[in-house]
Amino acid sequence: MEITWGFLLLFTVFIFPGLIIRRLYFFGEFSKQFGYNDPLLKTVAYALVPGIINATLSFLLYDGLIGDVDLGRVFDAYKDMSDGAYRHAKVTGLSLDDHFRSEVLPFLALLYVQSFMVGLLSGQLVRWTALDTKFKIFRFKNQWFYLFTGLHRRFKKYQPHFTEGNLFLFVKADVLIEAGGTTKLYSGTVVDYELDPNDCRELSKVVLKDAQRYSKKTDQQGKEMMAPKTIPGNLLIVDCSKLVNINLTHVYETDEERSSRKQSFRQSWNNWTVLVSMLLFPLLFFRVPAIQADWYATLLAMTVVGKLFFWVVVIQAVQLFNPFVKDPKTMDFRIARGKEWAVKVVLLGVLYGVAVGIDNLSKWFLSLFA
Amino acid sequence: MKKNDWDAFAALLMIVLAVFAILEFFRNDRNQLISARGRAVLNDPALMKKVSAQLAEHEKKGVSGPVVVNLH
Repeated sequence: MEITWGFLLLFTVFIFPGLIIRRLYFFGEFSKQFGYNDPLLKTVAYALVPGIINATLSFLLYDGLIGDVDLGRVFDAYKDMSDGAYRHAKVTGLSLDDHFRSEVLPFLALLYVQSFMVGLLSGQLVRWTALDTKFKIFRFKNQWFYLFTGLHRRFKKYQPHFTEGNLFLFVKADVLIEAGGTTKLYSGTVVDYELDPNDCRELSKVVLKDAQRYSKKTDQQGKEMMAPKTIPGNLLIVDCSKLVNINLTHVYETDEERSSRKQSFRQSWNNWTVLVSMLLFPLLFFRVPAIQADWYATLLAMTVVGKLFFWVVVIQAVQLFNPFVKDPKTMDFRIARGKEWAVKVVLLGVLYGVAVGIDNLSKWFLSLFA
Repeated sequence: MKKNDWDAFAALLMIVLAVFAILEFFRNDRNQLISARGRAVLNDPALMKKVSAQLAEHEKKGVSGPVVVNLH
């Protein structure tokens, strides 16, 4: 097989970044949707769409932030590469090595970092905003995830049957499977599950905690009945390749509606403070003309490492606007206590001192190479 | 180490930190098969006793639907 420049370009700029985006988009429980066992052509075709969008965005970003991209020159260089008679060594001006180092490599670096970030962010963002429960187009194929986590109650078709407010605890499952011409019923708390590697909609295995097996027994009156028998061991892995049916009992905690809303608000507040901290990050590296203060000029004059440490100070400063902390015992958000407020304030001063110290140290270190 | 290498190292460090920051930001209890509260209940024998009793009661009633337990 002969690898042409065209194929190399297609693969490097479009297909491979597209594959990265798709692989990272289907994170965690949805990773099987990436389609490891799909035919190559299907995988490539699916990667091409996000790949093209990513390459276009990279081009615009590179053009706007780093340097002008002259597409005409790029195409000319591409044609030269394909021309067998063209000799790069005989060309005067910037050498091919320098072109590669100063133009091609930075663009490829941006393209791949962007594809990594887009893939990592987009899938998580869909789940975080619950867009997948609101719009079918965003829904992941792993229906078992929604059923086992109790998120199915957010689907429009399930909403009339469930109360949103109660706090989901866990799900108990009664799994009826066919084995040796007969059926067997297992029951327990679902702690994990596995999907079929060839079909991410099909359940392959279910892991049950405190598992029980139901078997026929005759009571004192001679009546036949199904009686549970505890299975010794920590976890029972039920093979679902011959699953007949599965009965799920979602266990919620009541009287939690208000508390749940309160927790949700506190979690959102906490998330927003993190988001604000992240949004403030570029301000340390790119000058905002609207801010004319002296302290901002001093901040921009810091070294990269000094700025990174100063960002930690910014995160801590933003945390002063967050009155909530996560209790390590109950895992619930609660109002910070006096001692925790004191730690927040003291830590801010300590971190500021560390950032200034590190910045001075970095400046001294860099001066050695000046 | 030259200044450019130092900057490249810092940029790489920033990318790695950004990945961790993103993952931490999107950490969500709702994506767990057993919620944090559910784990606390499962690991607490006293609470589990209450849950088991209310599950048995729910089963006895023969009512279809999710079980809503009161743990207070």
